[in-house]
Amino acid sequence: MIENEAIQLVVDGKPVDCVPGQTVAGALLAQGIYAFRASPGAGTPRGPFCMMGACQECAIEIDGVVRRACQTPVAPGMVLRLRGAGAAE
Amino acid sequence: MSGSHDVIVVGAGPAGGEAALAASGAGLRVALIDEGPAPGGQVWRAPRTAQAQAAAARDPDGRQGGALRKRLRDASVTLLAGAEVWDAEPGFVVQCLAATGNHALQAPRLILATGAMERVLPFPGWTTPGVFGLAAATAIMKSEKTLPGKEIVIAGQGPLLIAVAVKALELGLRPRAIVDRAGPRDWLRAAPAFAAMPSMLARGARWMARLKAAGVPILRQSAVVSAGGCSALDGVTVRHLPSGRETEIAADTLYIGNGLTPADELHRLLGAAQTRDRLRGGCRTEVDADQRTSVPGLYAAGDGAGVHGALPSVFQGQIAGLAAARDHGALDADAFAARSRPARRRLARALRFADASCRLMTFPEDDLAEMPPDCVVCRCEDVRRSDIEAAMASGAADMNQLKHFTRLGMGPCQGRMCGLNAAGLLAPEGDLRFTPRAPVRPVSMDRLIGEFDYSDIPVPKPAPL
Amino acid sequence: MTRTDYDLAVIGGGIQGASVALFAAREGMRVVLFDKGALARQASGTNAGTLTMQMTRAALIPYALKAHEMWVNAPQWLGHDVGVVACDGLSLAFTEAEEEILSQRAEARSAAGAPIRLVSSREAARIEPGVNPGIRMASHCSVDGYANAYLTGLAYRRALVEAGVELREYTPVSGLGSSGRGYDIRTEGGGVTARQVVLAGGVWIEPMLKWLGIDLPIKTLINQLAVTERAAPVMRTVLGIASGLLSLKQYPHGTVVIGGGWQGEGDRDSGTHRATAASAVGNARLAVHAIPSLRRSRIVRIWTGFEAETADALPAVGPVPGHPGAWVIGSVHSGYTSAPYMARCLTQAILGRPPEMPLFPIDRLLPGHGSH
Ligand SMILES: Cc1cc2nc3c(=O)[nH]c(=O)nc-3n(C[C@H](O)[C@H](O)[C@H](O)COP(=O)(O)OP(=O)(O)OC[C@H]3O[C@@H](n4cnc5c(N)ncnc54)[C@H](O)[C@@H]3O)c2cc1C
Ligand code: FES
Repeated sequence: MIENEAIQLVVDGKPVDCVPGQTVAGALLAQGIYAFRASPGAGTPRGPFCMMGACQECAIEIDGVVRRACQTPVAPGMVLRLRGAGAAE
Repeated sequence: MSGSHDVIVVGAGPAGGEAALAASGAGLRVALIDEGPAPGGQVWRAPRTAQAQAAAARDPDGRQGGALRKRLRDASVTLLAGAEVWDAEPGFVVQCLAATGNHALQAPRLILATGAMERVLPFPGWTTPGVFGLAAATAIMKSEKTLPGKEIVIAGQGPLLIAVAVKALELGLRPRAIVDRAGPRDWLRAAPAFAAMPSMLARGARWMARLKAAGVPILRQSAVVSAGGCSALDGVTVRHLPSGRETEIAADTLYIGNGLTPADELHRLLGAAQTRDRLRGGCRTEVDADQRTSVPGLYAAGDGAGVHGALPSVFQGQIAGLAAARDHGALDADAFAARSRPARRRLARALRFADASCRLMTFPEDDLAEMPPDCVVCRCEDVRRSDIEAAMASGAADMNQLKHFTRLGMGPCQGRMCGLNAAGLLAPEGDLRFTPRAPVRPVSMDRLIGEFDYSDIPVPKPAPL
Repeated sequence: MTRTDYDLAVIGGGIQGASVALFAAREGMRVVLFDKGALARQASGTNAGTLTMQMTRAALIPYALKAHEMWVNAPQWLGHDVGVVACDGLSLAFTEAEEEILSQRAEARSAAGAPIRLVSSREAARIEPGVNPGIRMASHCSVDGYANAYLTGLAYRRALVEAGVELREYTPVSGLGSSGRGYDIRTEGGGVTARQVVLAGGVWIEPMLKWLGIDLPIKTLINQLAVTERAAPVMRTVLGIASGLLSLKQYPHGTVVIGGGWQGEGDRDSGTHRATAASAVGNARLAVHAIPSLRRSRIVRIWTGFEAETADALPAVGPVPGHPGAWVIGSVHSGYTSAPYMARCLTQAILGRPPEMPLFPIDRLLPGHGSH
């Protein structure tokens, strides 16, 4: 059974509320966050595209490792770093 | 979870789910693997939030998915959900990564039911955040009962356009426009086949009436040719294809799709014979009447073997599962014939309907040539059409050379988004593909290697000095 | 009309064959180059591109040092970019046994001329801040680096065309015969004749030499590599381990290539090869053990390629005995590193000049030849 109590994520240091069962991508999109990262070559802004695990445009750092946000369910206290994936900083 | 089974099924959508149930019903020890958190695949995707669960109970796809999940729970199928298959070795050893680490599964038979991916005809601006695939809309609506965006445009081709628009209305979002490549004549041509499935036809008519009542404009024979905005979408340019007339529509979100293509990475990795087939999404895996591929012990069913849609996938899955049981010796010839008969009959009927919608979704291959030079083809590596042309001028004649000369296909999507489009630019009449390679998904190093001790690494003997 | 007689026919368009063809054409020879596929699509386009002394056999160090210098100056002599980066190299020891191997190997290689010295774990960490602090010691080489091997085909293709070499890609050679003026090179679409011929078929020099009745057994290694997606910088050196079974570096565009000679599966005669999961896991563990922050990244491709090895693991570079004007080049350990210089030496011999450094004639490996 999915509890219906809000979950809090930390996105680039800021708290973001979401609903249990959501994917990380869904949670960010629901907050109006569309740009997740920069393309590593030209550095253009990118966000989720396929929502089914194929395009990798949603890959960000989730709890320190690169994961697809559209395939990762939210968990309380999850720490997300946008632009963490791929951007050769 | 690692270990040996009679048959492994990859993909737990309609095809894979049914295949697993059929094989297990015939007494086989079945492992069913899917990267999604629960069985259902794309079309019967499991609702994930409380709201989505409530909504799924009222929706036909949601109910069918629920039923499949229940049957799988009740059956003795070993389910690995949330596990990405990244390699399959002949024989068969299937490697998959889950939150618990890497698992190696073994079985003498393997059924691939990996489904389809969406194809999108690239256009300038398609990499802008706020541009999504059309199938992405269905995915997020099914699992989370939301749809990102306030001013949305729905574009592309095929029956999904209408379905997504109606679901958006149900969520209180009125699409600014539906942009459909097809014209009324294309839809009319499909009508007789659709009529073979009266329930579907009725549903379609109801949907059209709702869109009309809501005043959603449908721009026919039109396509989105560019999307504007930098870090966020601010509008799209729509071209009426016969006249070339262009109009701008303000939008913060675009959902666009030009049909489906088989997710056939594993089929190709294992060397199953394929045939070029535009109607089936570009390329289909050759199978016999029992869904056996050219590789002994390897079966393929559903859209992963060639795009047919959900209903044919169900029956192909059942046949594949029974065929695996038959080949395993668990069913004799008579039992196999008897058990597979209903599926074969229903498959034949479902195919007529499927072909009509596949025709509407056939990728507009010829339009690749119209792509402007600065249009990005490979999203991961920002390779533009002009880069591809420069590589061709330097002598690139196959996909591997194109990859080496431009880095196209070397990013994390592994060529899934760009491969077919680049091949179409390189040799429109050819049949070029990247060499299939593992891993068929980017592999998280962390999950792959787990915790280990240095002394456990089987370091081979040193090279000579 | 394409001509059918040449001064030199090179069979095999890997780094060895392509380099010989290039140098010979620049010396005024009329050269034709055959490959059964595209240029540098076998070992030479799929290798790890490491230009290192620390994995090179001691006997080859003098050649590799010369070649390293050539690679660094590639824009001058090749005229095109293969993405060469020169940097520090470190070979690591994690155990006492590895310390011992490392010391021995460092000593042998520095005796052969490589600027290698042993450094403490603290100094190693200064040179490579990303390294696992648990190392016991390392050997440092100031001459190290890497190229972007997948650019080899493009760069050589341009250079060869500019030098006037006639390229016959996707043209397998099926046999070789002597003719009055030299050799007949047979292909499906007809043949050509050439006064001299170079067999540069990588692992396929064994079947090539059989055309001339020579039996030189070549072992086929199936090396496996992996590459991560682009990531923020995690390292700045070329890293290896004492046993030689790791090679690791991060390219300027952010990808990390993981190699070191872990083996895949395959078969030279059918030309097929594939990676194995077991090698992928082992190699990745070793890589993460060396650079712990690699744990965060994702592997996007794993691939394999054929590498040739003779019975004594030393090169086959020199004349084909009993067949004047026929030459062989291949089976060079860490062959990508040494290739341009090996090819330069062989080209000198082909032109009738004394090579700058001795070749590695194959007589020593043929049956009936006593041990030397
Ligand atoms: C995975 C891998 C990693 C490696 N990493 C490194 C490294 O980091 N550093 C390093 O220094 N070395 C490395 N090596 C070794 C190095 O790549 C090789 O030594 C070198 O590339 C060999 O070059 P070659 O020209 O002899 O062979 P190849 O590059 O294999 O070229 C032989 C060519 O002959 C052609 N051919 C064969 N038969 C015929 C025929 N009948 N007709 C026409 N053409 C034919 C083939 O198509 C091929 O193009 C690695 C090797 C591999 C496989
Ligand atoms: S949005 Fe495409 S992989 Fe997540």
